This record gives sequence, C-alpha cells and structure tokens, in this order.
Amino acid sequence: MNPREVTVGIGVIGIGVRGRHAHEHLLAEHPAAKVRAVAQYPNVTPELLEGRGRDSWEKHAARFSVKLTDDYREVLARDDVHVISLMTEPSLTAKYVEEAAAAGKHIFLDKPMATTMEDSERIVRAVEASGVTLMVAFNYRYAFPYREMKRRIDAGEIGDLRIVSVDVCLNKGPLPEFTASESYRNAFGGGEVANFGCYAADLLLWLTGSQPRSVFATMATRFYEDYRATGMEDIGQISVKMENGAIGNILTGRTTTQSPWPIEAVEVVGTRGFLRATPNCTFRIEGKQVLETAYGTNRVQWMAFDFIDAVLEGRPSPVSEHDGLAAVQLIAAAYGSAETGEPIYL
Amino acid sequence: MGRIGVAVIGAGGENIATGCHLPALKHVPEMELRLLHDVNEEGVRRTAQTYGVDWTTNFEDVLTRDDIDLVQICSPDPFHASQSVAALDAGKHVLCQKPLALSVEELESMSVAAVRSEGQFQGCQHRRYEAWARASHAAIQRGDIGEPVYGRFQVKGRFYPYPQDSFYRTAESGGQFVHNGMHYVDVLCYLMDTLPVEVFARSARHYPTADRLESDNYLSCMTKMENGAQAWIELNLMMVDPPLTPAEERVIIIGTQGTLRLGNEDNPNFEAFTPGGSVRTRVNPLIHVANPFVLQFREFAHTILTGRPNAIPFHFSARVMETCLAAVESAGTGEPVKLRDWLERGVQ
Repeated sequence: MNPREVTVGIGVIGIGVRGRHAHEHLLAEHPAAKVRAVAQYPNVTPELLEGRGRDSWEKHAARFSVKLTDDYREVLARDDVHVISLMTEPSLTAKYVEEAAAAGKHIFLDKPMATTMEDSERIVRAVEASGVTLMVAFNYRYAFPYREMKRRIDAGEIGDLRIVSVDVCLNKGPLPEFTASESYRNAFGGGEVANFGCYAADLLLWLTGSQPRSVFATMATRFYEDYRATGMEDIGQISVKMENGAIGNILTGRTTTQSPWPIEAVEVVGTRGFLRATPNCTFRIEGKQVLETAYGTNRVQWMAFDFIDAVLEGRPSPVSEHDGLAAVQLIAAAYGSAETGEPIYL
Repeated sequence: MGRIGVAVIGAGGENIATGCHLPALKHVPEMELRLLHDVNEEGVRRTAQTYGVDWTTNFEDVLTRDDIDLVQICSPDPFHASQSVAALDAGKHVLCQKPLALSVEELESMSVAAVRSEGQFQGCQHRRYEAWARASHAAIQRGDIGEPVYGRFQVKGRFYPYPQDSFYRTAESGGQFVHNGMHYVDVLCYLMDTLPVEVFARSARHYPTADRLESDNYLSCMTKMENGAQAWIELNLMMVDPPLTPAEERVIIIGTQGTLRLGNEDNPNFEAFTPGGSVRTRVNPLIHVANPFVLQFREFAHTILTGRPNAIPFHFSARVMETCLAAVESAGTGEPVKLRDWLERGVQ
C-alpha cells in the first residue's frame, strides 16, 4: 500500500463533550487516514457542552478542512467514511455504536465504553453482528512501561503473578470550567472512579489476563464542593481478587493536590520479582535490575495509530468491546460495593 | 518522684529490649534503669552485669518493688497483654512493645486495667518519632498540604529471619501484620490525625525460598477513617528482593492542597509539595537523627512526671492494634470489619 494514499476515511460524531478532548486529530496523523466528516450528535446533555455551541463545532470541523455536517446520520451514510471517532456521552454510546456498526463503520470509542452492563452488552452484540472493529481508548496500555510490563509478565519473567497495584489519579484539579452536576453523573455513570478508575481497571484486567471474582471499594468526596453537592466521588480505592488468585489494589480519583509528578504508578509482584513504573520503571527480577527507563512515548498517539493499522490489516481490535465491558463490570461492582459497604462477588 | 525507676522485661537475649530499649535508656535522664527481667536466667544476668543493675526471673518481683515506677514490656508477644494488665494493676506505668495484644479480648482486658489503674500506658509506637514522620506531622499540622484525605504505607521485603522454633513462625502469632502492622497503621493515623473505623483486607502467600512462616506473608489493608479519609497499608514480605528486613518503605499522604511522600529506596527522600513550593531532603530517615526510642521515652517521662496529657492515649493505640487484628480477620472472612470506639469504654 502506498502510505501517501488515503485509504481510511474518518467521520466524527460528538464534539466537545467528555472534557472537550478528541481522538480524530490523532487518528488523522496516520499517513493513511483523513477526517472527511464532522458532526455533533443531537440532544447533548447541555452541562457537558460547558457553554459552547455551534460556533465551536464549526471551528472543530474547520481544523480538518471540512464543513460541519448537520445530521450525524449523513456521516454514517458516506461511503468514503470507514471509521467513526465516537465521542458521545457514555450513557448514549450504545445507540450510536449500534447505528455505526449497522452502517458497517469501524468505531474508535472513548472510555468508559458505557454506563451500564446492559449498554455494554448491546455494544458487544452490535459489534459482533456487524463484524466491524471497535476499539476503546484505554491509552495507558500504550505507555511504554506498561507494555513492557505486559510483555515480561506474559513471557513468564516474573513467575506467577500475585499482586497488581494501580494508581491512576489526576492531580492539580479541578478540571478547568467543569462543574459537577446530576446530569454529568448520569451521562458518565458516576464520578472520578468511573472516569479514571476505568483506566486503572483496564490495566489491572489486562496485566493479570484474568477475571475479577470479588470487588470491595471505598469512595469519598474530599476535594470539591460541587461534587459533594451532587454526591459525586472524587477519590476511591478498590480491592479486587482475581480468578487466577492475584490481588489487585486500585487508587483512583482527581485530587487538588500539588505535586510535580502524577499520582500514577503500577506495581506488579510475581513469584520471581517485581515490576514497578511510577511511571519511571524499576524492574527487578531475581534480585537483578533488568530495566530502568524514562517515560517518553506519546501513548495516545501510539494507540490511535495502532487502531488505524488494525483496521488496515484486518487485525482484531487491540482493545475490544469485550475489554470495554470488563472494565464497566469492574467499575460497576466497585460502585455497588461502595454503596452497600459489602464485597461484590462476580 | 525523682527519676522514674524502670524495669525492662525480656532483657535476656538479643532482641528489641537489649538492642533498642536499654541503649536508648542511657539517653533518657528522666528514667533510671533499675531492674531487668527474663525467664532466661543466664541471659538476663549477663545483660544486668553489662548495665550494672538488678535482675530477676520472677515477674512478681517487678510488680512488688516500690522503686519500679515504669515497666517496659519487651517479652514475646503472647505475654504483652497479661504483663501489661498485671503491671497496671500493681499501679505501675507501662510501656508495651507492639503488638499490644494478640486478640481483641486481650485488648479488652488491657482497657479495663488501664481505666482502673493510676498508671499511664503507652504502646511502643516509636516510628512516629522518626525524623521524617515528625517533619511530616509538623508540615501537616501547619496546614502545608491542607486536610489529609488519603494515606498510604507500603512495605516490601522479606520477613525477619526468626529462629526455626520461634513463636513468630507459627499461625498463633497472627502473622507479620499483627506483629509489625501497628507501626504502619500508627504512623498513618498520627500523620492524618484520625483513626480507622472500618477495615477490609486481602492476604496471600508466596515464600521465595524453602524458609517460611505458617501465616500469609502478604496483606493489603484498606481502611475508612473516622474523618472520612481513606488509607491503604500494604505489607509485602513475599519478595526475593530487596533482601533486607525491613526493606523498601514508601509513604504517601495526599492532602487537599499538597502531597507528602517518603521513599527509602534508591535515594532516601522526604518530599513535600505544597502551594508554597516544594521541600526535598535527602536525609536518610534512619540515620543522622535523634533516636526515636529516646524521643518517645522522654515524652512519656514528662507525662508521668508532670501529668502532661499522654501523647499516645490508650484508646488510640487500641484502635491501631485492633486495625491489625481486624485486617487479618477480614482477609480470612472476605468481609469488612467495623472497629470499636475504645474512648466510649472510658479509656483515655
């Protein structure tokens, strides 16, 4: 294939929600990809737009040298669009995945995949029925230290996996211009445990390659008044027992705390050694340091390229709808546990 | 009272009594070592010769001697509770090594004795007197990081190489989280100025060599605190390396305004990140600083001599100890455990 030839057309559905981030500009960096259509979806939960409207959507479309499409269904109908970069509120993703999959489009979907298990199962069914490729944007998997961990775990270098501890906590909060609301919570299926905890959940599930059997969680609202007013948590910790016997420990949230480093760390302990990335790596196996490296790659870019490559090569999705569902399941169990004060058995 | 007359229990071998308590006492002018006790006659006699003090193998002697005001209990764990109760009932002050007790029932008996006794009681929670802990505490009290909302203490390494017939190798000992967990829980509670109300824990075991204990050697303990904060204590002694005992320790306190962190791996650092800037010291918290035992002994001496409030009240130590016992229980049952309010029992 001539890499200069555009073979993957990207259609965008959803602009400026989910903290105003997007993936299409990263997908379009791929030499074989181009954004061909951009549309907003109807009836966006107003609070998610944070005051922005049509002007900003048009500007977003203009970044890709296209005009804003009024109706997202026109994007789905285009023959030169092969991939949908979907950025809708999680409570609505199932509907748009169903429509996109029925139109034969591959889907790049932000996390969390959905707010409920029912919606997650709808997504799995829709993708399986259509045979398209869906990828969930769990970009932490593409951070070099974690990929390297996964490779060494799968190669058996640290022996049997016993403990996986994952911190995914943003600091220096709050998110600018964001105000917590009942609508936001409903649209996202929770607070920061849903928002960032799903990254931690995915890392835990991916690294262990196992299923959760028991989940216990505590959550609290300690940093933001607007979160407190809507009963939305900003910090939580989750204890997981995996089917393969491994124990998972998760800390997640969005803190106000000042610190030059992110509260992001993964530590994996096996019977022969441990791997820790904070995100700088300390990998020790049988008493010897095997790797120490800086945290350098742009994981989000790498993820976007891997998706386009998977579509071009007809590879299975690197992070599939089943992975998305597993993370939704773990996070739902965490909420269930925090609410009841009891462990949830899956 | 002039100087506080001290008896040290368990001074007959190489242990925390002879390794830490007796050397520290030399630097505590308010206390005078007067009597050593151990069931090992030869051992206690030898130690007594070194220090030039009396010795006995009969615990009753400790209780009946009028010139003994404070009993420092460094005997094996199963004796801590009963010896504390006996000493308190004899009107003595008590400084008891961790763990305070091996069961909640033992803690109950201690609380009853503490209420009825005129003696003061302290658990040996000396790690909060280490330089980094005191510096962190001062920073938090000043409000440098706002309100602490999350605390973590992680320990990684191998277990102490106990003799093969050691009690600490048996399941009855409760395992390493009962034996040592008090320190980690105490430091977090001290720094965060709150106590656990609920505990959930999981445990696991992996012994990298043929040398093993009867208990699990990994425990992950998540707690909800009285003030709504959360904490996580992890004791991981399954490691091939680091090969030391204890080995790697990492502490993080997240506040509403800043973060404190200590790591003793690589370059030992104490770091504070606050809205006013950051502080970074490269002082090894384990050296070049005042002995934490001396600091605790001296502070306790002032409580005994001047009636100043007890810096580590019994209800605080009891909750810390109960947290460790509850963690082991929770890991066994898979259910969270709610903790008692020892203050409600009249214990200060």
